[in-house]
Amino acid sequence: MKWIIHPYGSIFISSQINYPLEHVYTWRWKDLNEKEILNELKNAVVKGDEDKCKEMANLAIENNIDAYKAIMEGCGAGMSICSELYDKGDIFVPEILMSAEAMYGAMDILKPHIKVEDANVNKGKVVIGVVEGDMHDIGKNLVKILLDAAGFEIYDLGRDVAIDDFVNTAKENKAEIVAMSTLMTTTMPGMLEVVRGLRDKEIRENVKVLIGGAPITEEFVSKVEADAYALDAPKAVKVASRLIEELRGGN
Amino acid sequence: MVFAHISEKSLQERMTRSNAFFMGEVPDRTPASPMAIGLAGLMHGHPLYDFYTKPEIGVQSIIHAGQMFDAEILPMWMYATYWAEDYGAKIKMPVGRMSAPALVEPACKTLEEAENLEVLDLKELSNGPTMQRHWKALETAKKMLGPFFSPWSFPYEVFIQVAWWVGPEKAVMLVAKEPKLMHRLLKKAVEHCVNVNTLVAEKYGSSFIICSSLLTSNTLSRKQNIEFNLNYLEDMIKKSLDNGAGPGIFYHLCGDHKNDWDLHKDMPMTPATIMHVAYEGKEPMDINKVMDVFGNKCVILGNTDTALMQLGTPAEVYDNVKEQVLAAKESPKGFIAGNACEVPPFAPPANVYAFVQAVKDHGKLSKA
Repeated sequence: MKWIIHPYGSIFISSQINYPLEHVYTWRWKDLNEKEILNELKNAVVKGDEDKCKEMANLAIENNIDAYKAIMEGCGAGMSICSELYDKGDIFVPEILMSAEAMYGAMDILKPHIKVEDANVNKGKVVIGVVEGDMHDIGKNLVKILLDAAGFEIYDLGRDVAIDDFVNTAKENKAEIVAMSTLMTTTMPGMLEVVRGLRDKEIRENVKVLIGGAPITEEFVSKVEADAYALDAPKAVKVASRLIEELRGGN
Repeated sequence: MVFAHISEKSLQERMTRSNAFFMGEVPDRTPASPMAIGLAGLMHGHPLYDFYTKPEIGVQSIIHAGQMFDAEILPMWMYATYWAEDYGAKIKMPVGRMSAPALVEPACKTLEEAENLEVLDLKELSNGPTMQRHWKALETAKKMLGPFFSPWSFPYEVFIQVAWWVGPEKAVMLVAKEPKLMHRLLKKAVEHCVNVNTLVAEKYGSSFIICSSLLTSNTLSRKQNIEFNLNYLEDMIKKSLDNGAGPGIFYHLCGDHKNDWDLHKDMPMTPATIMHVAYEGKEPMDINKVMDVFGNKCVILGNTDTALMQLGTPAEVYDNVKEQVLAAKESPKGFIAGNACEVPPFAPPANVYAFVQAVKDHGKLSKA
C-alpha cells in the first residue's frame, strides 16, 4: 500500500484505488498551472535537482508555456536565488555548480522552443574569458553561469585566451561587454593589452570592460584602463547590468 | 648553462640561519626567504619551460638565486600540477605568457573511471613522470648542498589529487552532489599522498612534507572544508609521519583563507613545522593574527603580497617587508620572512633585492 500526498492536501492510497503510483505522480504534475510549474522549476534549480528541472521544462513545453518565460522566470529566477544565497554565504561553490548543471538540463529542453522575437531579446552581449597564460577558469565559469541565467548573451572563449581572440570576438559580434578574469598575478597585465587591442580596432567606445579574479582589486581598474571590477560572480551580474545601462543610455 | 660555483661559506651561513628554528635555536637574524622559484630560472637565462622540464636546471637556479640575493631561499623545486600526469591527466608546461605548469585535461573521462582507478604503488609512482623529475631535483640539491641537504616531498593536496582525476569543477560539485563518492575518492587520494611522502622518506631517511590547502574560503563552507579537506589532510600527514616522513612539515595555505585558516591549528605539528597563511579576502593575511594563533605552535612564514612584488617599487617592497619583520621577528617559535605565495616569475629582481635588504636591516634578533 502506498500513501500519496497530493500537493493540495488530499491523501490517496494507490493500491486501494487500484491506481499505479506513476499515474498519480503524472496526474499531479499535469495538474499544475503555469505559475506553479515555473515555481517548481525555480525551486528545482535552487535545489540542484536536475531530473526535476528537466521534468518541469518538458511540462512547460507540453502546457504551451512560453519557453523564454520559463527560462527567465524558472531557470533564471532560480539561479538568481542561488546567487543571493552565495552572496550571503549560505551556499558555496559546490551547490552553485550543482544548480547550474540542473539549470542547463532544463535550458537544453527549453531553448529550441524560444520564439524568434524572444531570441533577439537579450540583456547584453558579453565576451568572457580567462586571460592568456592562465588556465584557472572556475571563477569565470561561475560568472558565465549567472550572466547566462540573467539573460545575457554569452560568448565564452574559455581559458588561456589570446589577446586577439578577445578583441576579434568582441568586434565580430558587436559585444557590449568584454569580461576578463585571472587568478595569477603574472597574467594581470594581459588585461591592459586587451583594452589597448579594443582601442586599436576602434571599438573601445562601444564596449565596456569588466575585470575580476583573485588578485584583482578596484584600484587595478584604472591601471588597466578597464571600466569596472566585480568581487565575485553575483556582483558581476549586477555590475554588468549597470554597464549595459550606461552603454545603452549613452553615459 | 654552466652555473658558477657556490661559496661554501655563504652556503653554510645561510643554511645554518635557515635551519636554526627547527633545531630549537635562534639565528643571528630573521631568515629571508622570498619564494623565488620560476624567477630564479629566468634570472639565469632559462625560459620557464626549461625550468620546469629540466629539474637539474631548476634546482641549480634556485640555489644560485639564494647566493645572488644572499637569502635563505628554501631550495625546493616543484610545481602545481604534480601527480596529474601519473594517472593519465594532460598538463601543459609553461610557454608564452604562462607562468607555471597547468592542467589541460583530467585523468578520467567519467566518474565510473575514477571509481575504478587504482592508486599507484610505490614502484609505479617512483617510475612515473613526476617522481622521475622529483628524483632528479633531489639528487641535484643533494650534490650541491652536501650536509645541508634536506629532502622534500610534495604530496600537494588531497582534494586537488581528486581534481586531477575528475577535473576541478567536478571535484568541487561532488561535495554537494555525490558526497559518498567524493569520500571514496578522497580516501584513495590520501593513499596516493602517503605513498609520495613514504617514497622520499624511504630513500633519504626523512622528508620535508610540503602540503598545500588550495580550497579557498569562498569555494567550500567551513563545515565542508572540515569534512572534505582538513580531515583528509590531517589523516595524510599522520600516516606519512608514521611511515617515516617528516619531521619537517610546511603548511602552505594558498589563496584566500578568510573563513578557515584558524581551523588548521589542530593539524599535526612537529618541532620543524612551518605555517604559512597567504590571504584574508583580497589582502595578505595579517602576520600578527597568524602569530597569535600559531606563534606558540610552530614557525610562521610570510607575508608580503605577491602583487606588490610584481607591481610595486623596491621602496614599497622594502617598507612592507620592514613592517612584517618588525611585527613578527620575535614570534615564539620563529619567523621566516616570505611572500604570500611564489614571487611572480616576471617580477623585477630589484624587488627581491629590496626584500632581502629590509630583512637584513631590521631582522636582527635580540635573543641571539
